[in-house]
Amino acid sequence: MNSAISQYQMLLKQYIDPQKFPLLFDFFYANARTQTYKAGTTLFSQGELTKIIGVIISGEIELSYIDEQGSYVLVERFADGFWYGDGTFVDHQPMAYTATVKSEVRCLLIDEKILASAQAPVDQFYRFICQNLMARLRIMYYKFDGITTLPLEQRIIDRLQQLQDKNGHINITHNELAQYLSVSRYKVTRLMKQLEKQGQLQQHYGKIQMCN
Amino acid sequence: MPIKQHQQLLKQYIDINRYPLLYAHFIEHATLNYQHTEQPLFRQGDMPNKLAILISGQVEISYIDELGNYVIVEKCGEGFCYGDAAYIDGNPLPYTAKPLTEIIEINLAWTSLQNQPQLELELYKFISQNLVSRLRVMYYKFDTITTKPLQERVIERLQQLQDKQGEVKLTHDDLAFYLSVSRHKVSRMVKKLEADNILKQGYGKIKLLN
Repeated sequence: MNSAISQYQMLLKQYIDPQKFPLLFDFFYANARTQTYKAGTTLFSQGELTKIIGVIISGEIELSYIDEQGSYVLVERFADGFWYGDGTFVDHQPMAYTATVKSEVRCLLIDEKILASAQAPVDQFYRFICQNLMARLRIMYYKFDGITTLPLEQRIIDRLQQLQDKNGHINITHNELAQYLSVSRYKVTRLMKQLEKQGQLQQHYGKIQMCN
Repeated sequence: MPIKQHQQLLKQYIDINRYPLLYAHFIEHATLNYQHTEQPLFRQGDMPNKLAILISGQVEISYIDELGNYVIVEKCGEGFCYGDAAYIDGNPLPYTAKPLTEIIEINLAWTSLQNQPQLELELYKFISQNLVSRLRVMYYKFDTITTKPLQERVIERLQQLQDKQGEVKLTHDDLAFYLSVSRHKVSRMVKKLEADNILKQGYGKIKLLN
């Protein structure tokens, strides 16, 4: 077997389980394409009706939205394994968020048109979408719980742990962190000082190092 | 078949044009559950074994968080559905649903869905539709809780909860739970809204003025 093909298969296996979704796996394998997005560009925009379904295979994006008052709200950062366009595929409603590329992103994409074709394994595809949506819904429940009941100190630590790289590094300012947590920068700064004193983290200019 | 008397109702929740097989399956296999007690329909941590659709009545959705806080999420009425999420990922219910009124629900046992490959596509389409709409509700809730001023959140919540006369039976404590802020903040805000003639307070209830 051609090694480029088998590499691609290995990659795809990480995002679609061939045991659970054999037909969908084969269909993606035959029809999906890769695309690269440079830092600073957008993967999709709030209000857009995406015509593709995609998954990030490398790089990082930041999700944000503009609320009714025109405020800019940061939601989350995502890296490989992030699926998008599936919700819009189901309900034909526009995207709720904008995804801005933080570091060059590679995606695996498939066009809605192709998925609507007669050969597409729709049963498996909808089952797959249900699974993705459920995972996202559970995350939202958790976030909702966090925001309504967890003390801010715990929320900061949770958030930093989500954002850290393999070495416990996070490139983030207090301002950004405050936006992620929807609290004032002042509160974040005060608590970050406290956490640093407790030896839980170290602060540097525009970045944070977690201590374990 | 008791479900047959409720065919018209069922049509409101399962679109017969989009889901003809699923609809027929419900008519054939679903049962009706009438409940007159305050017994929860399900408790946080329960593993459901059926798809259920509320066709009459109202429930309150709440949960106990890791720290033991009691959090009221919302009140849900006709069309509220459960057992679909767990059908997908096999995880237990994250909430408790307590009836606030008499309840009628349509129940379809998961076992009736086994070995029905012809149903799969419609079933997953139906569930994905439910999940997306729930996800969009969560996005909206998340947005309001993180960015809207308390005054707007109080008014919006009361509007959601009001009956036909514009009355809402709840205490400041309840309202504080619904909004996840302190009772003190809620009391202060409700007083201000009363002074602004947006609402009128009674004992254990609030009336919205239009």
